[in-house]
Amino acid sequence: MNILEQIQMTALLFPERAAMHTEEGSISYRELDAASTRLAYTLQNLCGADKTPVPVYGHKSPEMLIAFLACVKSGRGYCPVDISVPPARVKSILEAVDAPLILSCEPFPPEALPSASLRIFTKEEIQKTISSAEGPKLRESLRPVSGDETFYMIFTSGSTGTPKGVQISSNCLNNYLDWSVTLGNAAEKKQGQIFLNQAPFSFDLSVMDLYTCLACGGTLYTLSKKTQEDFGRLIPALKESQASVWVSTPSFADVCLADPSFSSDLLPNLDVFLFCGETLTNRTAARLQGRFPNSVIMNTYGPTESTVAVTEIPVTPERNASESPLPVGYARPGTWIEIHDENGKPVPEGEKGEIILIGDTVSTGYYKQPSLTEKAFFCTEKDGQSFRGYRTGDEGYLKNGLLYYCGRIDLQVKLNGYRIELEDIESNLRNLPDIENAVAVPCIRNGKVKSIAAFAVLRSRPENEADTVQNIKNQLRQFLPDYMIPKKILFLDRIPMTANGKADRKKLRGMLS
Amino acid sequence: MKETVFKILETICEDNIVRTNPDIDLFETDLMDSLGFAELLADIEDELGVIIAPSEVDRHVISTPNKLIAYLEERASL
Repeated sequence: MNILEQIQMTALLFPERAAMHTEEGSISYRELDAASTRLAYTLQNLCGADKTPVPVYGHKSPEMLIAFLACVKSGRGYCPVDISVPPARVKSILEAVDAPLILSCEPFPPEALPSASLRIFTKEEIQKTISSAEGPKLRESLRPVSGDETFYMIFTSGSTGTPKGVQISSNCLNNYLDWSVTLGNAAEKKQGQIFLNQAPFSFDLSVMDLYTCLACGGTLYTLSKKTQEDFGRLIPALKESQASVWVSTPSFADVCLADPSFSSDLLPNLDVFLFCGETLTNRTAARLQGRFPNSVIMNTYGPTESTVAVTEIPVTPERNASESPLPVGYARPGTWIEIHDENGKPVPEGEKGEIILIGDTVSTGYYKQPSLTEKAFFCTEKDGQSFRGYRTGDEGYLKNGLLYYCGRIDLQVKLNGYRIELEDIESNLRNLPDIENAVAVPCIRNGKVKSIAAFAVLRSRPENEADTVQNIKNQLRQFLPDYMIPKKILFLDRIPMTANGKADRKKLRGMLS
Repeated sequence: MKETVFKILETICEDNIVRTNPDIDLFETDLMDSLGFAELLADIEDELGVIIAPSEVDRHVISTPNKLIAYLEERASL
């Protein structure tokens, strides 16, 4: 698969077909191809020999997609940054990327600008560029990204308190797409169909809908953050979408299931549910099977570091009745899964250990972070060929080739699909003036992380605890996205310690229930 | 029924304040987000057999534990 050629092909064969439908309007394949090529030339002129990935700031407008493709057509990766990321964190991402310019598809918050010299290419400038009267110059003079060059880069929570950039190459994405177009039903059945987009583009789950859709010449139907937060808008939007392929976190399906009208009557064309990003529970699967008896429900698993997902399994009513928790699936062709003990030795089948992924979709590493990259990534031979491998930090086991996920071996958690390093929350808490020490712990119910709680030691006794909690949350919101703000903050005189002098997280978790 | 509702709310909100202060606004206080709300409706359906459609019922009608109980009692009496 070559995704850029595939998009161009659809633009030639079905020029007027919508590539993306948003609340701000639609864009056809012809417009998408032409506009992204025009913007690619402008980028090439502005950046010249500098091939640093370009941050793209915005939400779900058609300009976002144009900007992504413009970057890769001009030979640069892109780094999506959603409007839900608070300005201080946007700033630290921009500092880490250190690009000569950013493409901004929404008004850019001035406090997020790391230096006055960074050029912001605004939405108005993007629109002017893509609607300019002169046609795109010759295609030949652009050299799009290929091979091991970075196609996109997504920042995830880092344990030091600053996010780290996962680089996904052109090869990784194309290899991933060869498989993702076959998920749930045949690739041919997905041709020209409507794909639902729930996740923001800075969350790699969106790659599953966006690029699988474009690879199948389909139409991406996006749901904005606002629509997702309001049932009065969400249910009509779903009805209007008439989607065939559903891609979301299981949590989002739970939200939709709260409305009794969410059923095959609302979405009669829905063939496939693709779930990724967090545990799919038996309860969610059973409720979906009841409402959508003719749709295929697929569970998948994978870290951002191995391009969205690497396993798949259809969750049939029989499987859902006989297995709890549900398996996350069989490895895709091109991925090998191994389970290692703490010494890096493979464990016997059925035994728990760290999930190790090897194959043709493993990231080239963390952006400008050689020591972090060396810790998590390695090279090895499979079938006489060299492949990259990644130590996921996830705990799991294999049974008859089926992978089961058991949680994390470190301090990372998944909350509603969002990946969070607890230490990231802790270091941001400790940076607040009133806080001396802080520890964040997950609240787990029915095998799923439901929220984050934080224990804090204050520098001085609070006058009013409830006000202090609100105050801390508000301060934290300047640095962390909403989903990383602890739901509960409890004050202690000191953090309980284990015998070897570390925070006693087990004891703290026990204090919650 | 009241006890069941309190139990559900306590589990979802992870706080017994819902019982000690049943007039507290669940949404304004961060006790419940959209996902917690979805879970609440699913639990009410499972345990009390009452289906509440969020697109038909305004959140403000059931925004406190007491209001929710009053709403469920009214539904039960119909």
